Amino acid sequence: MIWFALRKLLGLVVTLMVATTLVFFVLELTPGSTAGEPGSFARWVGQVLVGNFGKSVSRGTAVGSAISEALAVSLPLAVIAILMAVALGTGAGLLAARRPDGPLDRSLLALGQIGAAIPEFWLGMLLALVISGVLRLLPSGGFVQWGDNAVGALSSLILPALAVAVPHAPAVARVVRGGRARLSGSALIGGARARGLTAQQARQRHGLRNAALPVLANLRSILPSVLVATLAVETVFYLPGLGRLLFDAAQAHDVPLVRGGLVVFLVLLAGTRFIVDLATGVVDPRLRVWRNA
Amino acid sequence: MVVVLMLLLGGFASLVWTPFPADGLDVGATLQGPDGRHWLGTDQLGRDILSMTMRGTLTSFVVAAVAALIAVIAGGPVGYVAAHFPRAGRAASSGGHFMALFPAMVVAIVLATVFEASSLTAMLAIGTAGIPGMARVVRDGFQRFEGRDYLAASRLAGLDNSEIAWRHTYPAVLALVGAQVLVQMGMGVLAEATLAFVGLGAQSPTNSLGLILKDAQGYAALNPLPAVVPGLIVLTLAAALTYSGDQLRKTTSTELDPGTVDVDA
Repeated sequence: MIWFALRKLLGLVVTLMVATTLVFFVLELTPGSTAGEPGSFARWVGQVLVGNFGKSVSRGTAVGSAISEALAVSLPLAVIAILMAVALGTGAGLLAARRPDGPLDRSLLALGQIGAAIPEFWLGMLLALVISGVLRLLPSGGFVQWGDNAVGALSSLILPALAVAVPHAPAVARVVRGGRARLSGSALIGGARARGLTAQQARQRHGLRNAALPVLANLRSILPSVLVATLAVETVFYLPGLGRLLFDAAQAHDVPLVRGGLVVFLVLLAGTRFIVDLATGVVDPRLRVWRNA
Repeated sequence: MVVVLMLLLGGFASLVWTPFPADGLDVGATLQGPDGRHWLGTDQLGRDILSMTMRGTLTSFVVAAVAALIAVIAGGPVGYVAAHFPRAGRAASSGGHFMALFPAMVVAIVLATVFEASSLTAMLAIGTAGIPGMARVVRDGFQRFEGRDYLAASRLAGLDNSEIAWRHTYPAVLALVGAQVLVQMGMGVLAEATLAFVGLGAQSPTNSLGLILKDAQGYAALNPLPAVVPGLIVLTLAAALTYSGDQLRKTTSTELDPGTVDVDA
């Protein structure tokens, strides 16, 4: 297990290094960019590793603090969105798997195809208009700091998270449904029952692990999309997160800010993938065999 | 599938070559009026929203199509090489994993910083993001269709290698590529609208459904239509394109490669 984790960690570090280098040098092409060629990259990396991301050209403040403020909004939002997507998808998938190819299954499938094509920011707009504007149930914009009002902060994240979660739920649902439907009649459960386990025990001990695998694999592929959608949806709800930071910075051609923000975002992308890989390794012992690269 | 294609053509035709006779952009007269002569109303600058929506739909198509083209041109050869040269194939796989760190949005941010955001940068961003997927499809396509028994049979019948390639393998792979193009166009439409909405894609005066939606959020209390209709169009286009692509892929798989179980997700 240790070897597996270390291998994955090495992959993570190498990938990040290559990606960061690429981003740095491409951004240097911006007209008016401050850093001259030799040594500036190494210097920048050194500074970043101690936490100094430099100064924002457009804002005049430190990049690092701007990013951490933004993360206080974006990270919780992303986490909530992922949880919602998995919850919605799993629920729908299990429902559909109850009677495979039945009317509920088919209609959920069709609904899922349409749902997956919904633009997240548009859904966010509609949610804001209907639920906030008309029904006045949840806030439609702005963000109270966690320190001031945690409940208020949380409530401003619900609608955006929902907007991100809905289009991603069908993919999860399909995988869950596939796994569940395949599992019910499978030899795996039958064998366990023959050994004396009850249906419940058999399902829990063997079914869950095996069903979790495709879900994790699916999660691995939708995570980048979820993170990107989180950035976009922040704009709709006027949330001061990483999305707004990056978009404004790009439009202002603020290289230090974009650089810092992108590095952080890349870490998020690669990091979440790493976590999913670790979880997959935990669930599937076959992956941990030394020779099985 | 036919119904979906018709929907597609409907969207395409009615908007490409009839961008509104009056072409009423920037009419100084009316500001923010609801319906009537302007079926969707006008925006804060007095422009007719229906015309903008039609033009915007065209933008969605063009951007998505060019992006898919980029993916084919860059990703196709990569996939071909990966299928025929195993070591290069492994390298390409790692490259694909690496590129998963660069979704269209990230590339768009970089391009917008270095240059100015525009529908061109959006095309490049979306196209680049589609390269690994397209390469994978091409590689899998060649691997699947080059080891088939009917090829051995054709060889026995006297066809030489290049004939086999042209008659059997290439059309099959082409069909799969076509399916992937449709799917990527579906995603491309979504991406184009999103990028425009956040300011990283098409800029005024170019029309984009995303831009219309961005402004519409502001005056939705007065006129909710522009906040709804462009979104519905994006949704319909994306769903139709993706569905058609999936259908094409399934048909190709089952008809040209008998024995494949339809992979659901």
